[in-house]
Amino acid sequence: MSKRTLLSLALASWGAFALPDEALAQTRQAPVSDDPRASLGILVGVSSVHGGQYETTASQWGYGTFGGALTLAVEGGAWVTPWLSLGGRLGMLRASSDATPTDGARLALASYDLGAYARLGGVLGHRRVRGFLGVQLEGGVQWASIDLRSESTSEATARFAVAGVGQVIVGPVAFGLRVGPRFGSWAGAGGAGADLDLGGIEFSTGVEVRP
Amino acid sequence: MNRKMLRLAASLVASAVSALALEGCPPCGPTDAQAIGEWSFEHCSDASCGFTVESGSTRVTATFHPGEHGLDLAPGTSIVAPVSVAASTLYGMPFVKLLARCDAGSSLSVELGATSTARDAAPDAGTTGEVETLRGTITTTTTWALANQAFVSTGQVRRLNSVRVIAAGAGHCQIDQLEVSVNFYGFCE
Repeated sequence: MSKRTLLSLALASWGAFALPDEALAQTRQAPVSDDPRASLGILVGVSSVHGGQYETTASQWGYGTFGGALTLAVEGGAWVTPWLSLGGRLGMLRASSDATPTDGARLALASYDLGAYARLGGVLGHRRVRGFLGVQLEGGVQWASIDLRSESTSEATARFAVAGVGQVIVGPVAFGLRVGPRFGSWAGAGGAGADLDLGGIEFSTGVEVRP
Repeated sequence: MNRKMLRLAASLVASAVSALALEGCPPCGPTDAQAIGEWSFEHCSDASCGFTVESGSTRVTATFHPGEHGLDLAPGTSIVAPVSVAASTLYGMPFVKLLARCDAGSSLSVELGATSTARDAAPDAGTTGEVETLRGTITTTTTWALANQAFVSTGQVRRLNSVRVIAAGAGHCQIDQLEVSVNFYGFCE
């Protein structure tokens, strides 16, 4: 068999294998990108507020614990690598203590935070409906205030949080759950030694657009 | 546990039950606490919140929050307020609950103006008797703390007439949530 014949057979066999793949690729749906460039989302949730020594101090006046809080946040970020997103968030938290028996007044806690986040994780699956699992680290500042009988006291403090992130991604939209601890302390909120522990466990759900 | 130990335990329980049955159960101890004077120092219309300032000066001040108010007592201040109580219902030990803090080197004392009968007077002996002053010292620190002070009479307190708070020392004291109560003692039938 001459060299020319061998070359012809080789080219023919490559074509026989390559042609069906090419045809199949044309009939397949357009591939979904696993590498979004940005994300923009909104989250709502519930959270505990540890309270700390401030709650102990307030209990002497008959105020109960802050109990559960409501949280709301908007976030936006950019994916700098397929597994790392950097962004910023704007959030708020509202909680209220149990009433004092004196006159039924309550301590109303509000916190507004501005910070940055880093999200690490990976997309699972390659179909149109995929999953995302990761962890998000947050750091920033929060402005916390406590209102009582139309009087208010406030303070800016640091805020940190860690959260596990789980999402279901349908096309460019991600629906997710997030849970993790939040850290922060307002030193001397109720006088010397009566620090308000702004930490707690947050559980939130949200929707995110990933264009 | 062997049989001997069980028998010993059973006999001890039986002895205790027999003793209670023979003895009855007086005194039964405090059965109820009735507040007969309360001051939260909220919504005050003057600087003494209804107290009469006998010496020194007072002003309404913020406590752990600007919206929670107490009364600041300057050094050497003495304030007094009448206590209203239905005299016929009073039979027991008075005590005072008070949230307070004092600057270092200062202290608080509380006096109750009382009318008492002899210790062995019958429960229905009425409310006339000798007027006496019951004194107690409130232990304070520089941070807010709840004090609970009982007042012991030489006789039986039948009527409370007044409560007086005195700040001694060179610094200020703050008070809040002042409550004068009486523990009523129960008697077995």
